[in-house]
Amino acid sequence: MLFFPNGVMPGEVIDPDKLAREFIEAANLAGQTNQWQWKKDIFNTDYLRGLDCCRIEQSQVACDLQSVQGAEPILPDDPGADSNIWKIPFKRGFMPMGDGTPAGTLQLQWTTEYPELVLIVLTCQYVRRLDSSDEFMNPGDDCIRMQARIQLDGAVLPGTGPFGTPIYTVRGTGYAQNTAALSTIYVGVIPAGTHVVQGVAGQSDNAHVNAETVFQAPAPVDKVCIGTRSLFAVRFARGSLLVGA
Amino acid sequence: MPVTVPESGDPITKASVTGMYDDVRAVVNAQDESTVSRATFGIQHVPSIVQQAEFLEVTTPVTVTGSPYGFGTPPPTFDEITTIGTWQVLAPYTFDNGGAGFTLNGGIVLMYCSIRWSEQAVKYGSGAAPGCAQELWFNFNYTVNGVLYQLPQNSRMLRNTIDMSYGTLASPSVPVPDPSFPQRVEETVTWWHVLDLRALTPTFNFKMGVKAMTQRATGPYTSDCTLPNGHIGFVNLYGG
Repeated sequence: MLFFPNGVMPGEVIDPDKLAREFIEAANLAGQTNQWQWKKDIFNTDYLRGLDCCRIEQSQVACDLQSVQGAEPILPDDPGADSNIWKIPFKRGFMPMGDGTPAGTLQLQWTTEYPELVLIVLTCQYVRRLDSSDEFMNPGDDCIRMQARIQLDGAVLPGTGPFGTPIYTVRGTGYAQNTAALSTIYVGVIPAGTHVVQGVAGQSDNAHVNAETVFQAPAPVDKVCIGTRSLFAVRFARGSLLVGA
Repeated sequence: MPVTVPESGDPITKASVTGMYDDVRAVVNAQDESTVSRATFGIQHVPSIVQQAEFLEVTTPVTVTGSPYGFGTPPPTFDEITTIGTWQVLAPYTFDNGGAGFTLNGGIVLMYCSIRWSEQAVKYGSGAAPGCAQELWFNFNYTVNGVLYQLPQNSRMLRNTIDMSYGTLASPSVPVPDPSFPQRVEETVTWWHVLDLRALTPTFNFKMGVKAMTQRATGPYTSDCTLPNGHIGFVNLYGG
């Protein structure tokens, strides 16, 4: 911190008021500082080491697809499927990845007293069973369409989600391939308070006229899944206005 | 905290001066975060929170070799959990600072990788029915102080369903020219991982790498998978 007192000049008569201002000014500077009182590079890297200058929150679930040579992965509701594999509800909109319990849901929650810049990453394995539409797919086929997003404080964030080459001309209805190793990322500033982040996904078909009861076999309510999944957030403190004591 | 100052006209004594020094000292020594106003510290004062950020752009195509087994030939062993160690190392994605590894100073490590699967390039065998599905598995692994972590939860799989062969049944294990090959795939695998390594002090050695394996899901054959480009990297941050 920098403070430059005027001092008493040679031959000058000491004025108590003038002398007092030197100290009063010093106290004021120390009491509410700004960037002009601090030298460049005043803090070295040792200052940051071990501090909570950024924090991480993470949640992850590992799944075994039991993939072996010559066989499809074992997916719910096949017997013996890994219980951690999450089956995406059909036509239920975006739902949190997991079983709905705090322990089984891919979810982060924290409380902060300051605004923060956050980097949120959802990375996961999407896999569904193969069906006849995978090989000879037409725009009118009832192919499963999946969407995955990051949900922050109850709001599904636009702009996040998997990228995939649309099959034929059907666009905007979701991801149509039968697997995806996707990562979705959000960077933004969020206010102080309690925040909840979840990975969410939904699935539907692209044929609006068909009810789910007439969907081709196998039924879309089975074997459309999220496997291994991870959600983490890196929180960078932004600070806020604090008035001097 | 106010500074007690001498009244105008009072004689300046040693006690009055030291008293003001003491008052100022008390303010300075009691300074905490509540006395620091917003935007006090900028990039000119505080070092970057990023200790080290390294990445590698890979433009060297790499092929994940399929298994040229045919009728009567036992398929190679594959299991996504137990066989990761035998998977093919994707050499262009070995990110280890020329073998020496990166020396990091603790903190948080964000790892990321993205690899494009463009096509299935070579056909093995024949006689398979259309609709063969081939799985291409990746495992994103890292090494901390010489300990290799190739965890199943860092594995990802892409599957492509194409008509893999229409060749002759007589020579199923011989590559057969097929106008349908190479076939475009255009799928991308992406992956992120975060590590809290604050406990590792003062430094630790860090490397990254990728392994891959392709296997059939349905149908009797696998083909080579071409990975034309991608990138891999990490960001090492202070904090945790």
